[in-house]
Amino acid sequence: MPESESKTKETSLHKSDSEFDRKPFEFKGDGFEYFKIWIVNISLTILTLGVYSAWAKVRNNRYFYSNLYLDGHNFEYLASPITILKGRIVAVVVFAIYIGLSQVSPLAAGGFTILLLIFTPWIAVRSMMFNHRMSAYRNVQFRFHGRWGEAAMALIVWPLIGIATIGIMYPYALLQINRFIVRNSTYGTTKFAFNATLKQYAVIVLVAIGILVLGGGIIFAFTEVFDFAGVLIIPVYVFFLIYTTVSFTNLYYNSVLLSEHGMEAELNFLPYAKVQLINFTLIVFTLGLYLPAAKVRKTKYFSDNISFIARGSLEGFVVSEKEQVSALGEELGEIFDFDIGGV
Amino acid sequence: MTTKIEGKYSDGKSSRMENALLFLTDNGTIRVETINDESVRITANISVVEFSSRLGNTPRTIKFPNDAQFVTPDNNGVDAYLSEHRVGNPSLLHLLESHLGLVTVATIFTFVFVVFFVWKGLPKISETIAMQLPEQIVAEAGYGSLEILDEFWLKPSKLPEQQKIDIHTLFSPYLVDSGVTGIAFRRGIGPNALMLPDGMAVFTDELILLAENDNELIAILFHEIGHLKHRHFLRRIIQDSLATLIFATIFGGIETADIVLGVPTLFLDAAYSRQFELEADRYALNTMNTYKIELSYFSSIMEKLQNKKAACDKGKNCGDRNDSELQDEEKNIVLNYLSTHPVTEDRISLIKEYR
Repeated sequence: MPESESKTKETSLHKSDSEFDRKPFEFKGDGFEYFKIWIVNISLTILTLGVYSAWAKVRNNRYFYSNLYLDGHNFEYLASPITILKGRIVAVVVFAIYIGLSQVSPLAAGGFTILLLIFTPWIAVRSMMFNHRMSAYRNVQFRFHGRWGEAAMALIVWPLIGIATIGIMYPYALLQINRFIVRNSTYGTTKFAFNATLKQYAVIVLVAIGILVLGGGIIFAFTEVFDFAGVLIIPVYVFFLIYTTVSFTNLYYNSVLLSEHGMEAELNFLPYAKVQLINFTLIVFTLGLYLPAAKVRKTKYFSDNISFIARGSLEGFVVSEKEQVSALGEELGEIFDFDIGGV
Repeated sequence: MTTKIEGKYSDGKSSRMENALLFLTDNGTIRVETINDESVRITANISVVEFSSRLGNTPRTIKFPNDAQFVTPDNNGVDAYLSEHRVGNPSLLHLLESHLGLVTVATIFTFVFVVFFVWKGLPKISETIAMQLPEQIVAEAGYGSLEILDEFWLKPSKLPEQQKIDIHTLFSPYLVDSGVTGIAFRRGIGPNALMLPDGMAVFTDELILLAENDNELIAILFHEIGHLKHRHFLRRIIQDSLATLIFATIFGGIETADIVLGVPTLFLDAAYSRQFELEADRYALNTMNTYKIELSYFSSIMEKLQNKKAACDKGKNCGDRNDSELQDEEKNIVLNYLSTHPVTEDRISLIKEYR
């Protein structure tokens, strides 16, 4: 359903607007400090045959939330390891049932898969509800109010239409996914808005396709010159990946509004490519030990280039009523690896 | 004595936070006062408040039962008070995470575990799973693979029909209960033989021409049957997916890992396929003994393959001379018989165990 874009546009921010205050995000994590936490997490996960992974997840998330600052205040990750563990146990049991069924009868396993697919939107919604609720800033939690019917449209129907129309409708699918996520999110009781347009998504998708077509052409031309031209697919793919990450991230944050406030992202191709290149090289040369520091560097790059545009005080956000959300949805989503869209 | 800690206070009703002081007294009473006008915001007993555990240098949160909270960057102040007034050590994990010696031990432990798991554990687990799967799944896993190979790699055989029939006749006594569903002849990947997961054995013209003795071909056939009996195709799939799953759980939550995880998996694959070849060799030698076929035929065909490959590497005489495009392909092809196979001397010396 195309909604009136003009309405949300009125509240969009321009740099020329008076009385705004650009507040940069700041990530205060440190590569070596996180390495120590990370390696202890892994060791304890191995020693406890995976049980500690719930605690490891909480400590990892806490490290990244608590080190992220805006306006002098840090974010918080609130989930308790026991909740995560319970969800994980259920997910493992469901997975075991699936494996067992596929041993006994492939038909039953097929039916089970279809059943799970039907539940995908529900799991996606539960997962986002849990993650939002477990995120807080200034002692106010985020919330997610999406319904599973909308989720089915945004996360399954539109992407399928996008594929069925050989990509013509794909930009619209991307817009629907991000709209669904942002417009159903709240900070306390305050709603988020999302004012990206179809045209903005279409331009990025077209350029991305252009990169692939041009890259394909270059590879084809080089096959005449030398044998290993096929290897060129790697730089073309990396180029494509970096372009889409930078563009979609910028579009996403530049389109998010929180009542009169907004956000601004200024990621750039070359600096981000440099971050990824350094990370990749160091990870390979340290046999993976650089992974945690790489994550810190990447997070720093993102937070350094994303700002919150405040128009007035940030003190007036009101908390929403209490509700309990289990980790079940999230952990089911995790073990069956449903990728829940966004950015 | 009263501990005084600086931080920020929130009443839990809105995003408003004010600069405040936290007073922790020896009798376990906690009090928050604003810095501006020193008015008391909340008082509580230590038994009802919740201190977040220490994590690096991230700020500590002290939560009150009514959702009010006090946040402070003063980790040392909080820890000093807690170690004096609370039972147990709330920062045990932080101790692990900040002790250089323990972190070194954890690093070495993780390394040793990963190496051992990849080297011994994973192959064993995959084998157990693969051997227990019903035949039906095994067959389905490889459905249609000859068609795919024909599309991308293989060319039709140029062998005379009579020779194909002769080879079928030669092989047929050994195919009973072997699981082999058919013998196919193809061309275009150098001297090579393949066993597809559905039981289709593929022999190349180049290999047939290279073998000077029927028993040499039978040695190769047994080797390929070995792959089938040991369900190598399935084990490879299981190993690869298990490795991905388990490493994702252990190293989880790190997106950068996605790009990098492919690299070790590639090396793993090469190492595992060597193991599989040795297993198939053992099967071949065993079966040759059963049928009383002289084991020297195994070593003679291996040597011929080795020489052929050496010649290929020098860039000459790779099978079909007229087809230069194919020659290049032969040199690079991943499926090349010897590239993923153990060193020939190792394989030949394996024979000693079976004499």
